Amino acid sequence: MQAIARQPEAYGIIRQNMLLGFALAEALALIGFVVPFVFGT
Amino acid sequence: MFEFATLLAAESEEMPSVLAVPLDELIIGLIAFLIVFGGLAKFVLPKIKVTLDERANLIEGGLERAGKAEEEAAAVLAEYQKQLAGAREEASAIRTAAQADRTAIIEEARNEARSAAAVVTASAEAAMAAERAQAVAALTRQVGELALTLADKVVGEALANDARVAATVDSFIADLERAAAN
Amino acid sequence: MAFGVVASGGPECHLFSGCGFPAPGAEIFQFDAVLSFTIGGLAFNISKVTILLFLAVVVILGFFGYAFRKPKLVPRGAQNVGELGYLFIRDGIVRETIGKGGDKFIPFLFSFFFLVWILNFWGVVPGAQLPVTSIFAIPVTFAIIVYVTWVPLGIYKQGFVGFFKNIMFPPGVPKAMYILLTPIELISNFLVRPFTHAVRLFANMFAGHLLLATFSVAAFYLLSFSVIGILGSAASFSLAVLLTGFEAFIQALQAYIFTLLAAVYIGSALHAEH
Repeated sequence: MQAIARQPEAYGIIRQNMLLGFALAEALALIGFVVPFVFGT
Repeated sequence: MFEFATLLAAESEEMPSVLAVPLDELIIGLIAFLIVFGGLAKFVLPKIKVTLDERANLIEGGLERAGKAEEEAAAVLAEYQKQLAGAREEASAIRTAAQADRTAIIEEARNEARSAAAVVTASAEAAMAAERAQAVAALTRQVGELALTLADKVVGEALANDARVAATVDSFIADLERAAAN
Repeated sequence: MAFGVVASGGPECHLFSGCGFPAPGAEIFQFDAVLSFTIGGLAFNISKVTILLFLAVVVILGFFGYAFRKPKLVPRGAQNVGELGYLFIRDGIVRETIGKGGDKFIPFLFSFFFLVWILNFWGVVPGAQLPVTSIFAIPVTFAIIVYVTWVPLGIYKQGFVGFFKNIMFPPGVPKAMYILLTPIELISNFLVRPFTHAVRLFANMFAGHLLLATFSVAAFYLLSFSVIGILGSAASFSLAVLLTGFEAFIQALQAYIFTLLAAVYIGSALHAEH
């Protein structure tokens, strides 16, 4: 948000990288969520 | 990864693992993607790409036209301004000339008036001088005549009996002479 | 197994009928084949997954085929919507990650985005109620397609040595760091990348679908004429509705991220690391 406020013209790239970061971090949590189903009975 | 998944699938017999990747599903997925990709890439997307390019060209053309119009307008404006400046210059030149003319005319008029006045003054002075001289001459003559008459009268009646009268006549004549000399 | 409700669809399991909570598990992602046939020794099973998959294909080709059947300079109706999608892929994904040189990958990424999105979207469509991408084989297929696209592309564009050199020895790093960095880069780029690419999409859809199923089952399981029953069921039901909306957002986001990552990989293959 600060980055967007500081450089509004770079909004597209910042948003893109932001979502990418969300996705990469979130993937770990989701893998954790799914593992019990995969290895459970 | 693939082997890993099939390994997992082999572990539980009654229900395959969720990470199982059966080959048939893989192939079906691939076919589905290829149909979408092929259909879109070959038939659908080229059309829209062409349209979008055309539109972009159109907009660019429009922009170009607008730019040209702007340039033209700027040229016209510049020309107009140039003309305006020329007109202004001309006007100021005319004004300067007019001012000079005015000064010259006034000066001329003044000179004329002055010379006319001088002529008038000179003639008036001359006339005055002439009149004065005439008046002085006439007066002197009259006074002389008057004095002669008076002297006749005085001499005729009592010239011998009063020495005082004789003195008065003398002084009167002297006065007259002095006035005439003036 | 005791997971009666979802698996069999039977209404017999209930809170006061002495039945434990039938928590939905991995079995809700198993479907019986409606049709099986064998080609070249490989058995093909046509199930709900396959049907939804090809339904998505039909929907995409049908919609865009209709929207762009006679594209006009001044768009109206469906063409507007289609163009929005096209420009989103072109300007929002391709040009920002790859640059203008990536324009020839638009159809590729376009197909991925809309295919993944529609497949995800089946998860909230009444009647379908299954995000097809929560079947692991489907995201794996897509990840493999991306993988076999960007790796040969990188080798073709940068040369075999240059491609691997760029990935294993990223510039601007002290020489000693390469001892640590090179194996990490190698593993993360060639092994972890495709794996996470597939698993991210799969896990998101899997977890989302499971969550929806759990709350839907709970809403039914708790439903009874009692305070707990009404409150619990209503809470579960409203949560299920709420989560359905949230899932719709996540589905679009995951489709975007999947496509974005594909674009990033292709971009990294096209030009060297910057």
